Amino acid sequence: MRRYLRVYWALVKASFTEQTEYHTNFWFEIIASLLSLATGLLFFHFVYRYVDNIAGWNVFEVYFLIGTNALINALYGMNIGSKMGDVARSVKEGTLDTILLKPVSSQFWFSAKGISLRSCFEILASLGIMAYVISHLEIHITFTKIIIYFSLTLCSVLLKYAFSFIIVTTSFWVVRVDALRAIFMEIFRFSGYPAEIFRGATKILFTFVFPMAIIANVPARVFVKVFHPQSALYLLFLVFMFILLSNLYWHLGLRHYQSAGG
Amino acid sequence: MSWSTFSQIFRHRRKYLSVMENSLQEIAEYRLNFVLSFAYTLIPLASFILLWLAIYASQTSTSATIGDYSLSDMITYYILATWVNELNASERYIWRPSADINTGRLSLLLLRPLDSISYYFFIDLAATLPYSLMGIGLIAGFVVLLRIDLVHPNSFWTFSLFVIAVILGYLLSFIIGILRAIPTFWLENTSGFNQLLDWVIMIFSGSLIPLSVLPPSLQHLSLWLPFQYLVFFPVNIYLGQVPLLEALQGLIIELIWLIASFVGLRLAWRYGLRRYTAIGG
Repeated sequence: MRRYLRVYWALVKASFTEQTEYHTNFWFEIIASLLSLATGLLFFHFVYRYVDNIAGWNVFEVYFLIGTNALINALYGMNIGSKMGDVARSVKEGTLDTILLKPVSSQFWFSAKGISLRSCFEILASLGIMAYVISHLEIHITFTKIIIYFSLTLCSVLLKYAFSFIIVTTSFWVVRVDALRAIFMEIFRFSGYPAEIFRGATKILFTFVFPMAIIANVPARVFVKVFHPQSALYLLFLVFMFILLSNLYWHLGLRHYQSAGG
Repeated sequence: MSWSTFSQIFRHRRKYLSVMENSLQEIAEYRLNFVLSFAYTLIPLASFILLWLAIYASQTSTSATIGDYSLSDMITYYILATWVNELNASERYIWRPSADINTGRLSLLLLRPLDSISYYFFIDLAATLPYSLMGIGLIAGFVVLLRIDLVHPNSFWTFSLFVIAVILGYLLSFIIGILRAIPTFWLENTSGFNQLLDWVIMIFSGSLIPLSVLPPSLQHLSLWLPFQYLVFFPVNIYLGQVPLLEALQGLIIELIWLIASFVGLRLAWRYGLRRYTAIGG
């Protein structure tokens, strides 16, 4: 455990240097990432000028959902999300060998890549959005609710992580996985929408196959709309299943891997 | 300046034809990526359609309109906007000139008896054919599969003006695409700047939401920017939201934008090249 912490700290320091190397670009990136967070808010802000509810959600409730989704994305991108594409590259170029020889778990190596500074800004922004909503809605806040909210949010982050890891692990079989990964990442776009907009086939698809109707919706409901405890249990079940699956799949992939380095 | 370029292109047309041929071969080589890039654009399209269905369904009156758009107008808007965006060059080739400047590959290009900007233009022009056809095919499949009733243009004139607006919009998108590479002559890493610009273009081209749904202040601002001609203007003509006379007027303003940005691009490119040779030694 201590070795993992030491490795992680070294990675954090290295990633810090890497990100601040180009100053001007760094700030442009921060602004761009905050603006892309604002895109969802702006879209609904424009639409709610014409309507007063969407699938029963008012504008502040939707903002809260978007804030939660942004928090999940930021926590995901904070450390694990940024370098997931490396798996495909190292399989293709054969550099996976050197990673397998390192005295840490290879899944850990690909999952922990230091700290993304832009995600820190995104976390602050998403907390800001939610604070803004809370000041406008009469939301009853208790300590227990906060604990449940953050636990479920972390579960969603883990779910997103496991889901993405399964996608990148596919690169053991399909070398050019970039496009596939980009497509699956696009599907996460649906997680910022109220679950009620999914009906019929899309409801089944986004609840059971790609759990996008679960990811941000379940934690957000701790504070807005109605919270269903069984949905929280379903989220826990999904996290457990997907993490287990991702690890099994990773080991299956490693067995399939034939080094290009020789 | 530009006239001599045109006559030069005409004289060397065989060279540019082989540039186009190479471009098509490249797409054929990476055909899986080409196909997947469409699947990639269909997901946001599907997400917007799903969302708008829910938005219109939540309205009390069934004949509700939002910013003068009925539900079928809105869905047609997003389908056409996706297609026009796919056709436009800025997305597809923005990285190429930037990468050439950064890696020094531009030197090879400068040694060839070709005009660099025209070279990039013909690479992209060749690509528009497979991209636009594939786009039509996929969107048609999508429309049939989901039984979407697409709005048809109300007259031959509307449709003709739409086609002209799409072509001019494509040319403008190309010039904007190359203009975006210009800062690379001075800065090593422009990814952040380009992400910022991507965002501005997404909002003010009407890719996120039709510009007529924006609050008045932003609508007003969008009129002063060239980005509306990339998506909103052509699609809105198709939907019959723009009276013919106004559409003609818009096309003339677009033409002025095109000429001005073309001249600006030529000047900036020449200025940047001076900087480039300074580094190359």
